Amino acid sequence: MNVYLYGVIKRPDEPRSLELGCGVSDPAAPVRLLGYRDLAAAVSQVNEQEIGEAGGVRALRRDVNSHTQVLNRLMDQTTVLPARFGILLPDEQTLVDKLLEPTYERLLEDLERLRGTVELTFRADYVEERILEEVATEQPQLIGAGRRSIQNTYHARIETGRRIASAIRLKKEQDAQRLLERLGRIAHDVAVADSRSELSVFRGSFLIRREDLERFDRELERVNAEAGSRMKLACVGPLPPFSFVHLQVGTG
Amino acid sequence: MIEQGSSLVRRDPQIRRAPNSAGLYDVLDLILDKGLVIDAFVRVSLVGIELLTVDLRVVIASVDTYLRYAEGAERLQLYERSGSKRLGDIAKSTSKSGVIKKGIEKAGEVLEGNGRHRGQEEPEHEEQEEQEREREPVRGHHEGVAGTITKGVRNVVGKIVDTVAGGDDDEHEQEHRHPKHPERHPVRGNGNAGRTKAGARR
Repeated sequence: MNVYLYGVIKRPDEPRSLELGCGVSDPAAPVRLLGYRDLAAAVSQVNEQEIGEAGGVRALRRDVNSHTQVLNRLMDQTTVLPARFGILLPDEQTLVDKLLEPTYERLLEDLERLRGTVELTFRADYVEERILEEVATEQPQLIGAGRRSIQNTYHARIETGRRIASAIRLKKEQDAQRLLERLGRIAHDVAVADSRSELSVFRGSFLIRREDLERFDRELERVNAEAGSRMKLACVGPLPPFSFVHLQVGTG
Repeated sequence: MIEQGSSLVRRDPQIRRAPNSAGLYDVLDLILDKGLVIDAFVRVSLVGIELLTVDLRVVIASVDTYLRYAEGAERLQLYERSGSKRLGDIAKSTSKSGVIKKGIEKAGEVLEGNGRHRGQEEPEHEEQEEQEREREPVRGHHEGVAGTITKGVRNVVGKIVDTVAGGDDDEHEQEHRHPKHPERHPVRGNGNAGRTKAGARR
């Protein structure tokens, strides 16, 4: 009987005290706890026919949502170490042998470290027209180059754009640093992600203690007010602490 | 078309959104890339992965960005010289990037749509639209010259690139807002591309 993994929690004294709901696959099987010493893994069974030819769990909206919802539900009730989407083991014993037994101490440590915390993802992006205006105002010589390049070649225009891009990049570094100082102060931990577009100032996640959420929101409010129309901020959470679980068990 | 602007005007009192109102795209990176992993047992069908994340991996080379900046700067210059407050010009300078974004979003949407057709309920339309607005295309850093685009989506995105490289006449806009429905399965093979996304690049 296959086992799909959602995450690991501290084994509750009364297993029925947790509301687990249903999991991935169709029909969705109920989520249950697989205990090991004082740990428990939240798992469910996947319909074999669904796995079939695809050779695994399909990353369908339905299943991805189910995975997320199971974890959100758990997170509201206890501290959870979330698993990446799509971990499917042949049976319960394999889960014990590959994860729970060999990394028992580490899992306990992580649960302790993350106790009472949630993840908030955060990103800040420049608004293109605003930041171009800003660069143009502060460094008109760049725009001057732009004017000349109207009659100029393709390469000259690329060169102008490149100069503007590096001016923006410099601003980005400063703004990212400022954001990190302001919001990171309240965070228990920070995970910075790669920025994936030229206008992305900051992408990452903050690990926040639940009791600090309000404080974080107030600071976010202030940062947003200061960002004005030049930067667009987005913050999503609370989420299970995905970015702060670094446990990756090899094939071993 | 100036969606960025309008969403700025609407300033929510609370910037943080709860994940359930956020939709899939906010957490997709997390649940596909982060968290506990048992290497040998990550059993995700690559087909599914690809359909979900293909729009996150569309790469448009920096050159396009540079040209856009240069163009934007030129327009700023023109508007300064003419002395008239023609904000329309500035808005227009960014409309092309808007078209690109929209186009890529559409591409992603269509591709993703393919993954959705098997036995899933339709998502609420409003939520979907919210996601489209929040989503943005990814321009990888220096992945090559213009037109270096993830193989699988080349045929879909080709048109968009044409717009970038070609003139800025706005008549393209209509076309990209309502793209012709591509073939049912525009993405074929190359499943491994999925694993080279964000996580692998760090």
